[in-house]
Amino acid sequence: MTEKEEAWMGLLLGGPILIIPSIVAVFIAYDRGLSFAPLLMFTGTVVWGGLLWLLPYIQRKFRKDKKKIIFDERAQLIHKRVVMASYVALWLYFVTACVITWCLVGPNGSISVNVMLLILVGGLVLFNSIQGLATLILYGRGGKENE
Amino acid sequence: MNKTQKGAWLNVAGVLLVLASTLYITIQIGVRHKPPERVWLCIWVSAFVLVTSIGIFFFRRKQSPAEPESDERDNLIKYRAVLAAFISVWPLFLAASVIPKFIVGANGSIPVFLLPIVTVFMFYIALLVYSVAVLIQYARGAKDGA
Repeated sequence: MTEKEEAWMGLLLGGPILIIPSIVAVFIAYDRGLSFAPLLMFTGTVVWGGLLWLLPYIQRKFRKDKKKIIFDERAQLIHKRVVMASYVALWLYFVTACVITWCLVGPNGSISVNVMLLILVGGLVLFNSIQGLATLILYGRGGKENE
Repeated sequence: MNKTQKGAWLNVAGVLLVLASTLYITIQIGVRHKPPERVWLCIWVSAFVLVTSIGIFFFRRKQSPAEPESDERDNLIKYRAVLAAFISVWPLFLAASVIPKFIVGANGSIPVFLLPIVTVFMFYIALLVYSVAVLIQYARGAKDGA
């Protein structure tokens, strides 16, 4: 599978794959109280979704056939830029989400603890969507320049 | 010690001071329900001024007139440190979302003014991770090079 195809797959399937288990975990915790299973489910999804970008590096480190290049310098450079862009977007999203919530509820108001979890799920989806989108844009640009 | 290392030490000192003073003020106001003591406020302010002055003095002073602003190795170290700081953002946000649930219960609520405070705190912790990552990489590099 090429990087572009992977990016399209991440963009289309990344959201639902991350949203479904995390929302189910939040719902279970809301309905039946906080227990180990939903906490593990939520933490696992967040850690998996948040650190999925490390996969090419891990794959390269533990690959048996070291001679075959599957993650070349150009791909690494694009990947680094994509990850950086996603993290910057994530940070801006969290700051904006906090400020908007503060403005909507008012300085003396209060919010449900579940809102924090939903903000985090939103951040996770945004992080992976930006990764897919930035990969497509950068490969699109690179392709035009090289052709 | 080059500019990046000096900046990292300045960050570490500044962030530790900010975190310690915020913790003190939070405990004093939130737990003891008393205003912060003047002596401690004077100590914090003096420490901030001292750290900033010393930091600016050493930051502006070059090792030699030929010292470059930054080279490729510095940029690589900074880049890796930024990534380390960004990676630390995930566990921090996860903790900020899950810990309140344990404290106030699954159906509880938290005051909204905590959100900006949490964000600022996380920014400072990420800054601390960045600076520590810079210092560790330089220390490792020095050992490798020796």
